[in-house]
Amino acid sequence: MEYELAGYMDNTGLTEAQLTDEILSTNENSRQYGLCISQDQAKMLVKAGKEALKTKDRVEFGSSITPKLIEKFAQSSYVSQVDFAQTIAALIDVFYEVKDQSCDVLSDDDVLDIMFYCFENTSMGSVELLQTRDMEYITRDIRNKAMNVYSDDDMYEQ
Amino acid sequence: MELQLHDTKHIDPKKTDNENYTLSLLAQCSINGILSPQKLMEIRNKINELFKNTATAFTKGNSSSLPVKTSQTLFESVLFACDVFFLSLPDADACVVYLENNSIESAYENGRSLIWKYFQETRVIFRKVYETRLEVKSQEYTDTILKVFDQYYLHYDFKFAPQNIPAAIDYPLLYGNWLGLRGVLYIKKYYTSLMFENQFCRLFKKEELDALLEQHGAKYSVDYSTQLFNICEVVLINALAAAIAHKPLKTLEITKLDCLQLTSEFQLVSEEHAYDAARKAFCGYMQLLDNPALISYLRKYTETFALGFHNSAVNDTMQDFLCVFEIKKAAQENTLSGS
Repeated sequence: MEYELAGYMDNTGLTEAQLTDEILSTNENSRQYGLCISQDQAKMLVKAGKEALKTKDRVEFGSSITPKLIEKFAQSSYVSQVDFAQTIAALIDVFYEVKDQSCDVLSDDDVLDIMFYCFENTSMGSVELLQTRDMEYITRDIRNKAMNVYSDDDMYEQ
Repeated sequence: MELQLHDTKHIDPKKTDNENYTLSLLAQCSINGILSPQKLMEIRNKINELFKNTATAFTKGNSSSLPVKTSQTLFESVLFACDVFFLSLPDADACVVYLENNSIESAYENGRSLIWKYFQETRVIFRKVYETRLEVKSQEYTDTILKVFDQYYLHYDFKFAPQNIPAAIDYPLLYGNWLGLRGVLYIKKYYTSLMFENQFCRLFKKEELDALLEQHGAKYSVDYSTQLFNICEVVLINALAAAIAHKPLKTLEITKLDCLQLTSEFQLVSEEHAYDAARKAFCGYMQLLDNPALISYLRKYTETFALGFHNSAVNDTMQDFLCVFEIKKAAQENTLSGS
């Protein structure tokens, strides 16, 4: 058994089976919005989550963010059963990018709230616009403020 | 509760790494079958648990993930706390006995308490360093005392990064700055060593010390204040050579004539003879130093000195090995230069 640091840090989150169960348990809440995640879709989301963590060089140590994303965006007027799982998969990526680009200043709940607000009110259900425009603007503003460079445009101040 | 002892297999201390003690210890336990795979897995899982708790505390419960680099620092902080505890035990075998009979969490908690305790101790050690500091022009030496310690003390993160030292320590110690330790353990050892070196150098008159260091700079045609060198080493070399040359203890002055005499006396003798002379010279200083730890610290250098001393005699380079100066002449030169 090797005792290198990297080996340890691969096993700090939940197992795949535990994650799949957590995702499936969100159906209890999502059903009221006419949405449901199947077993296969849950496994796809678990894989998407792990991929996103790897791509963004992050380590998950607490509960997975995916169930929280599902519960939040199930309320969206821009998602339907047809594209729900795929949208969530894309939003997982956006979530970790925002955490990274905002230097982890924002809490998980803050990021979810901001993403949802923009998804509903400015990007009108477009994940691409959410990521490339809205979140890009917000995270740049946060980084600038962290470096004491203030922006004149207060479009997203609220 | 009866203590369970592992079998007769022992940990080879040479195969443990003080900078990653817990990991190297567990690796040895795994390779040599000293702890069962189940026990090792249990320890590994517990360490993961400790990391999760630390990461949660770090993010105040507001995040479920962190960048890899931050996570590594937090993970290392858990291991470092365990390291500090295990390094406080008598030896590696005692660590194994502890692991067999106690949880890794208790090692971690004990380690955290020790980190805090050592952190407070470094302040006490530093005060002694400050009180015994030398009034010399060496910039790095002065910064190490007047700036570096404060940087460390004010910014040391004993909770989430105790393995890191938030300060750059450049002043070289007598045996170099690689101490095989991290975090507060490094600081404790470094400043204790510096205290010993200060205590030794303070045996000598300031006038002689100043003249010696000026000459050291002159040897390399630089102002010694900008040189990066260990003051104690320069002092020790001249002090031991002066003692070998039958000068009174606490003398640093070595003249050209002294060099010629020493060369003549040691050029054709064996290395062992030089070692013997160095040991006798050091014995003289032992009587002036009442701290066994200080004596032990300095004694190790006598072999290095003896080798350099003997080689210089053989190769007729004694004037390069030592700092040759005369107090009256040095005083005159200082007066002329206006310093």
